Amino acid sequence: MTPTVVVAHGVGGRQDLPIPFGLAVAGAVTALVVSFLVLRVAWRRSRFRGDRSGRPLPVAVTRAADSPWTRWALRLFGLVAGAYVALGAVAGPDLATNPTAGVVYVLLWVGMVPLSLLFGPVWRLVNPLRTLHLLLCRAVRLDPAVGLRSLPAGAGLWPAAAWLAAFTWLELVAPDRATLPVIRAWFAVFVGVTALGAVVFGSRWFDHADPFEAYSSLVARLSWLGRRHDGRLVARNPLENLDVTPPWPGLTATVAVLLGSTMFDSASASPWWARWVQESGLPPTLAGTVGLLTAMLLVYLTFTLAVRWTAALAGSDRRGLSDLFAHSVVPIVVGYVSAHYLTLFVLEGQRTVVLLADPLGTGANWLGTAGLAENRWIAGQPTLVASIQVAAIVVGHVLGIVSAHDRAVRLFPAARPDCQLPLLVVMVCYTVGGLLLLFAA
Amino acid sequence: MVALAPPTGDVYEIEVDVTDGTVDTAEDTVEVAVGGTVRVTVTSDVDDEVHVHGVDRTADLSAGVPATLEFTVDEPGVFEVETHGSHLLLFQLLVR
Repeated sequence: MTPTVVVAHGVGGRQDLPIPFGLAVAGAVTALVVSFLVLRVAWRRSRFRGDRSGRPLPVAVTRAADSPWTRWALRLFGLVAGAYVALGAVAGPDLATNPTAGVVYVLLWVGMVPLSLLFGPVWRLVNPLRTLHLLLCRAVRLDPAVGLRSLPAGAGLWPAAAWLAAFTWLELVAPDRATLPVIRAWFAVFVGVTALGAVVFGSRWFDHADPFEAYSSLVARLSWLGRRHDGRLVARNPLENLDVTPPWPGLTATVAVLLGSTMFDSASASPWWARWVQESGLPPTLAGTVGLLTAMLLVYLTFTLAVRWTAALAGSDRRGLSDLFAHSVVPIVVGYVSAHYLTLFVLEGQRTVVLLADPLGTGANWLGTAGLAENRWIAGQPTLVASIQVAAIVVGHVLGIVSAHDRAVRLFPAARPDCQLPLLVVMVCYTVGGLLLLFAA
Repeated sequence: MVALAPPTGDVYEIEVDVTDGTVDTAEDTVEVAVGGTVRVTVTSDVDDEVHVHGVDRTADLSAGVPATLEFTVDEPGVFEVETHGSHLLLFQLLVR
């Protein structure tokens, strides 16, 4: 291996084999059959009790999780880890052995999914930028929650959706996106704008605009861990957690960005995409930008139209209903992201942990992980991987359908179940599209 | 489309020409068996570098001079073979 090789794509030189055709068809048929079963035989009155549901964990668990010691330990961890990675990013050599790209694209971005499923919305607890803002406010005796202005009521998750789009653009489209100058430049802009946003709007800015907090909080909606209306931590059905997703303006855009970008990632890895770009004569960055935005817009438009159609069939002319249904796309996103990034996370995640021992390229072994051998077992199990991929997509689809169904019977109690048909068809399309991409890309 | 390149002896032979930024090869995707040996011959009209992802092999290309890379593939997966100067995807190696 030549040490000067800088990876031209994101991270990882390997993609999964296409899933077998039979498995793709079996997945699609299962998704379709379950969808219509849910529509025909499922409950007709909303079952979810949202933030009143769940089995309470022992009081000591809630108390320990909420104690200032735990909170500050997590913040400290975020600060130290952030500083450690920043050191490698700023002072380390721009080689394939620099851990920065792996940390950003694999450990942070992909790792956020399993972490949030297991422990809830973790990023807001460790987010080093949030902590720095808090410390600065404490130093000058200001309330971190209060900014110079209040955030406009309609802002909702729109700033986060924009930043998520910007991050996925960096991850999937930006030229030389695995190199340090590009990652540094993106994060310089991101940190600058975030600092400005936090000063102007207070710490609420992180809730509304930080893409990593938004991603973590949305995925955490599928966690087994939740918080009851009285603040108690509870173990609960992930669908109940999902049901209490705040329907902020921009929620639809946020899930559209997440689903659209992951689908674009699959599509753009296919030979037909590369061939098309090369033959079109378009600059690759422009073609990628257009492709990425098109994928996001396609999800956004199909979903909002389906919700509007469903509402019309139910005899409702309420506007802005799509944000009340958008939570049901979260399981589809999580299923697809799991399928798409499973092997990348296992293989590149290990590689990144090894590289992290020596962020400056001096031969150091600061974390003691430098000598660890990577376990590449999963790379030799294409059948198992394909089965997990299809299962993840189908399970995500079923959870999405069930949560949309419950929301529909709550919002339109008098309507016939057939009114959900447009929504159901669009979700089946996302799922079949995801399976097709895994088969053909 | 996917095609199983006919092995010559035990070696999968793949030839690629790059002219005016256009890739000319028999197949976009070449399917080979795990453990197989692959011999890629690339001729480019400009100086460049060819890189096989996954096996992390590179070779320098001089304009007009065919360069050959030979390697074995020992892990299933899809690997891209591309040029680094012109950022062209030459083909995908599909290892089963």
